[in-house]
Amino acid sequence: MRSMVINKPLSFYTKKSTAMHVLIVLIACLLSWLNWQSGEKQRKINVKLVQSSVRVDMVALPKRTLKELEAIQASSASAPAPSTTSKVPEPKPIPDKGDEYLKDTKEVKKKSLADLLKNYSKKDKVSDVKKVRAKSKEGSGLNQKQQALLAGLVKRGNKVQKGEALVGNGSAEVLSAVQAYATRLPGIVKPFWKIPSYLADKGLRARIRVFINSQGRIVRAVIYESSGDDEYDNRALAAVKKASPFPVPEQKISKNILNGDILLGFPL
Amino acid sequence: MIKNLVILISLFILTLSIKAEEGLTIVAVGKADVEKDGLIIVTNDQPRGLSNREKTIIAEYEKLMKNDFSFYKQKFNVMDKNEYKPKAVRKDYSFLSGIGVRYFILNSFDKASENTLSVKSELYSVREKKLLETVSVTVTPSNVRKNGHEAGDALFQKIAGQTSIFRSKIVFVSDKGTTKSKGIKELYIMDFDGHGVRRLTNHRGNVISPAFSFDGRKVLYSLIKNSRSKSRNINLYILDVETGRSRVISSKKGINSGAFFMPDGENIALTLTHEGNAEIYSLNLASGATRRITKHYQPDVDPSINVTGSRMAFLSGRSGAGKPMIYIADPRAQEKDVKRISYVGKFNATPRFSPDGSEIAFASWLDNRFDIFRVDENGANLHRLTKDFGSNEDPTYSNDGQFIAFSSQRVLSRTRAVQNIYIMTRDGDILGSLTKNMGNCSTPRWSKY
Repeated sequence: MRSMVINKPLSFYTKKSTAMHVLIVLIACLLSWLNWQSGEKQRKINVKLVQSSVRVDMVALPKRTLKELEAIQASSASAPAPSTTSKVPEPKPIPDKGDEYLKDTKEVKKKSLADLLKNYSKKDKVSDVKKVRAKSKEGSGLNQKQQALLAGLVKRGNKVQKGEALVGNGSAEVLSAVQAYATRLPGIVKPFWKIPSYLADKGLRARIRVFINSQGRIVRAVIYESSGDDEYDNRALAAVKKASPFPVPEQKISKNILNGDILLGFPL
Repeated sequence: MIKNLVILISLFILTLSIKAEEGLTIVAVGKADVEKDGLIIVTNDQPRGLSNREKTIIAEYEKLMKNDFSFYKQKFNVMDKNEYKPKAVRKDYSFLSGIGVRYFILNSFDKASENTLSVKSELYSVREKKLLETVSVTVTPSNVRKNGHEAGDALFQKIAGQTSIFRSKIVFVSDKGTTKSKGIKELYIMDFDGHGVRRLTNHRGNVISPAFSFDGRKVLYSLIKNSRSKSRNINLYILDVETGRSRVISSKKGINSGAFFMPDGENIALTLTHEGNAEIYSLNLASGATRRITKHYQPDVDPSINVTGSRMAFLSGRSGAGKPMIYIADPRAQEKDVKRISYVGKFNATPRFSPDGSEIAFASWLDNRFDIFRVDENGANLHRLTKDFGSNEDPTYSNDGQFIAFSSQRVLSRTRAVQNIYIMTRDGDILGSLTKNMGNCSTPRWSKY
């Protein structure tokens, strides 16, 4: 064995080693590219989530009073829902406040990171793998982070929110369509969501699974997670039923919607 | 080397194989709107043979209690209809439940002696169909307001599980009594509802920046004397609300002003200029010893301390640019944990902590007038509260943090303007003015007990 090693010229080992290294690098490239492709949709959702939970600082005093802003939100929530489209709807436009609301550097950083990721996806570089993994980790750990994220979303401040849905995994296209559909529901249910004072500030939470048919009507609404208080559960159920009919779902997701893929959290 | 690469590659494969568990799409509907509780307050049939004066006491007691609960209009819907009275007296729970009543208060009076009535105020829950609380007080023409507020507070606590504003008081400065030749501003005190106004000082000078102690027994204020003497030093006084006696507690050279009680009641924070620049100091009331809290070449003024004494909000010019900004710091040491809160506003003034220290109300110059704003203690959630309502200054939180009193100025003509104390909810829902025919009223301070 040893003699064999000695007998070979150095160039032989150099070539072999180079070939090995190139192969490894190629494999790494390929894997990272595959990884990137597979996580594309999920990543978009993640980036959206991150953006919607970013804090916004003001660069000028708000012109509108708190009551005026509340009135705007209430009217936008009770406005008739737009007809369904095949595209993921754009985030709600932030009401015209001139230049009062600029995003702080934190958000700018996050945004630029998102842009970076997008650009890199075209170029397909190995060096992105780390960032990609960091992002996709956030995605897979979603369930653990749901509570915190959702709580943050509810605590949003003086600003109209962007997305507010958290999703599991599935066929990416259908999934995002389901998600897009789901995010329209809270605004429709919220005006009917009322509880008596003695149930307030008790930290109760109920989740209701809704089954909506292709006409947008509630077929069934069942308590998926009870708050432990009958009155609270009933109020949540009543809010869902009063809010029906909902927007007509798209053809491709109507099966998911009818099968009860959507959970409404009261409040989370 | 190759080993490392193999590990790296296997890691890649691992991340590929990780898939989030299958889940349903969850969307948050958010916090529910809390329904108002229907509340009716009725007086049981009166005993016979009452004098007119005694009947007035009964009427005042009932009116006061209705008015008290009406302040919490986000919480209660005070229903005031004559036909509900017999239903409440007969405890017709199903009827009351049907019209949305959740609680009712039944006041029963008995004559104790001449002009003295004993009252039994009972709170019933319509949902639980039972008596929740009974409060018994004795009322006379002179104490009906005080005892009525106390009874109302006890019943409120039973419903809400926390104290109300019904027993709180507000001190303020009014220029009542000003003549053409001599402008004066004296210190006054009143109940939270604007009744029982009483003058506390008689300096014939200008009282400025009062502050309540946390127990409400003492008031600090500074005085700009009207005397013609050369010394017009602005000294700090402390006043005993009960006895009305006041004395100088700080008379260092320059300004001794903007004082604020520490929660222990033994120390105060105030602005002193005896070393040249305006800085915030802590002063021990018993020993007179001072300790410096801020140290910066720019002025630091107007401290406000939270209820635990761990945070102090103040104004400082340290950002440069000539705009006073709001900062918070730990007042227990010098320049400790200083954090800037406001980054906007041409001129911010009078930062005031809410009782729990979670938010700060302040006035800021916008569109050629002052308006009241609110911001969380960490600088988030900046909200505007007043708009198109005159020039609004000097916010002060109520003892329960649900209301803000402030002074609002209306320009009547080129030479005349009137300033009064108003009250609003912490969300900017203005409930009305508290002062009437009191001249120009400013710098309200709400007691914190």
